[in-house]
Amino acid sequence: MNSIRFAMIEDEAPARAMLKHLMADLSPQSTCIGEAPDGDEGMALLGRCAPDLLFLDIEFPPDGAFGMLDRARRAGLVIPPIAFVTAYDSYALDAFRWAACHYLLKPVEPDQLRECLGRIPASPDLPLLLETHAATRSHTLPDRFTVKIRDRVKVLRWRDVHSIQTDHRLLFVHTAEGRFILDRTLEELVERLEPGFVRIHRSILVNLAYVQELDPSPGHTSLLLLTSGERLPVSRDRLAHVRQTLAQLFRRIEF
Amino acid sequence: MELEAQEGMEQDDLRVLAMLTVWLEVHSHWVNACHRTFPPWMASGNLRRGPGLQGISGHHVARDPLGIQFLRPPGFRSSVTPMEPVNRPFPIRLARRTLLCAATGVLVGGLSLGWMPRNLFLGAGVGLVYVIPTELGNHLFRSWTFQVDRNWGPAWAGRFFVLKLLVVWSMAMAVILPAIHWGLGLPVLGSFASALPHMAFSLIWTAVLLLSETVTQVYTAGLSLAQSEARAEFLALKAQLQPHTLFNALNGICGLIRDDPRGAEEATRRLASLMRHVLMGIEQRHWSLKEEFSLVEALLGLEALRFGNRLSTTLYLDPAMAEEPVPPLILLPLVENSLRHGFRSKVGLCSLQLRAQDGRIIMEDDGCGMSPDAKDGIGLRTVRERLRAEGAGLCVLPTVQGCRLQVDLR
Repeated sequence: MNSIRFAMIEDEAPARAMLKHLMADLSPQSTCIGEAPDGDEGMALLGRCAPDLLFLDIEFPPDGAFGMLDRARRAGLVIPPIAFVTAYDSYALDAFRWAACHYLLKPVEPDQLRECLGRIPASPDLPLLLETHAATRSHTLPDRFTVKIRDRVKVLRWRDVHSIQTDHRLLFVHTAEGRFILDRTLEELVERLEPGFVRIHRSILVNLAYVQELDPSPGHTSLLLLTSGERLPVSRDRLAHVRQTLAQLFRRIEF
Repeated sequence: MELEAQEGMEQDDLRVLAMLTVWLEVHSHWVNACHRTFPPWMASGNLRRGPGLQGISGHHVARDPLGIQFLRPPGFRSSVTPMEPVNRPFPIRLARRTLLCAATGVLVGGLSLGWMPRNLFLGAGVGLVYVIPTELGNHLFRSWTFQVDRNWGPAWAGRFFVLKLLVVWSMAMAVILPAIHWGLGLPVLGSFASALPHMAFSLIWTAVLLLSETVTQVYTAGLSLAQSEARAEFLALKAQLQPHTLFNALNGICGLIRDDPRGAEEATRRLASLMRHVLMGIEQRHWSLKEEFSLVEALLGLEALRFGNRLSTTLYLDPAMAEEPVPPLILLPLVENSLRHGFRSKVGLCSLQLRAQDGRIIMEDDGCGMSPDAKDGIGLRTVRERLRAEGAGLCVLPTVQGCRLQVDLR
């Protein structure tokens, strides 16, 4: 943590000055080995040096962080660990959360920065990040997403998810490998996952690909049997909707 | 004599029934309106005050009539207190309602027919006849189609059930009584007369149901209108001053503090001036073009920090137009758009011109321009709608480079 060589791409001079001051305060031995005010110089910077940490603004000319990263990937440049710095961009923040990238909010708080320096993030999974950003901009979800298991980051695919359930206000994705906490709400997932998933209960969303059987028992709670052997309750007022969805699904499969 | 007394009694029964029906309907609108937002004086035990301070500190969590949560900034005034339904278990609800309706029946029976045991029993009986099927129906048929719209919640399923029973009953009376009369060889015409009260009763009930529902709908619609206006105001504020602008300005000031304390001071003043103008603007319906220009100046002054010497701006306001009334904050989103989208991806010098002359305002920039098929964002859409409401208009003028917008006042 002591002798970090960092670089920054940021179009505003005062913001660059502030980050340098903060870095000087928090880790006096760190050195700034390069700074760039726009994407073109940023590319040159990435080609020239390999910093331990790159502070990357989101919006700068000509095409912002995502455009520049895309070009850098195509040019085969080595991508250093990145801490994104942004004032307010809901799409970008959403993408960072899904792709488990490190981000700082402007004006940067020393505590946030200290935490980031204490555990310098790995280089981002660029294809995952770009794919996620494109998806969040068009209000869909990418195929892949990440979950955190303590310090580890695990990449999962929606098609491997059996069901999503809330339990004591926490959201879990259930897969063949077990269940993982997801830092999201069920509501924000429901509409984006709707065609492939069906909500069978206030707190349960099920992947249609893993549905085996619907067991409607009059007088009792109906149960949905998954291929994993799990049995999940179907709430009474959603039963008709679930039935209809399954009927359409099986019709699709028949033809 | 005997016949007359009996007819008199029937008249009394009808009176009780009619009064009770009206009263119970009105009452059940108080207590059963658990899905609606009601003022506290109407809450009557089944509603309680909604969650108070919650979420972001100082913000009030409120619900609009469709149940969508939104945050109100602190100090936000509203005539409506958000209320939450209290969901009691079914047996307790039934017991409460039964007691209440029986007591009401006793009261109405005593008041309208005289305080005789017979009348009190009659009133209580009518109350029970109303409440038990209604509540049972509400409970049993709560998954009926009314679930679709929360305003037609489960409370209505039971009432429609009772209504259907009544209609069937009166129809049956109109058919069965004459049939019996005909079968017994009695005059058929007279039987229609005896079926008449039953039919009249159903008709009255139907009318009361529909009338009271209409009243409630009108009341709820008024509420939602007031709320949506308030919400629109809040959203409009958010649309007119981008959070982006605010945070970037704060970040810029942070960066200036050490190297250029004077610059930081100046920037803080500019931000204060911008905020003051915006806050003044959202409270007014109109202000002069002069004030709008000084708002834009405050914004540009602040943005000059970010852009440094990359940005050159020209503002010209014809003195003849200085006092022209305009909707407040109408130019702000246009300038913000230009700075944010027009210049974001431009390397090198950026210039922005704003001229007010000859009854029109022209804004011109040399940024990367708008693609012709680009849809209006929320900012531009709001501006367009607000101008249209004033009888003014906004149009995009053709230009070689960048973007050129024209606002025609009147």
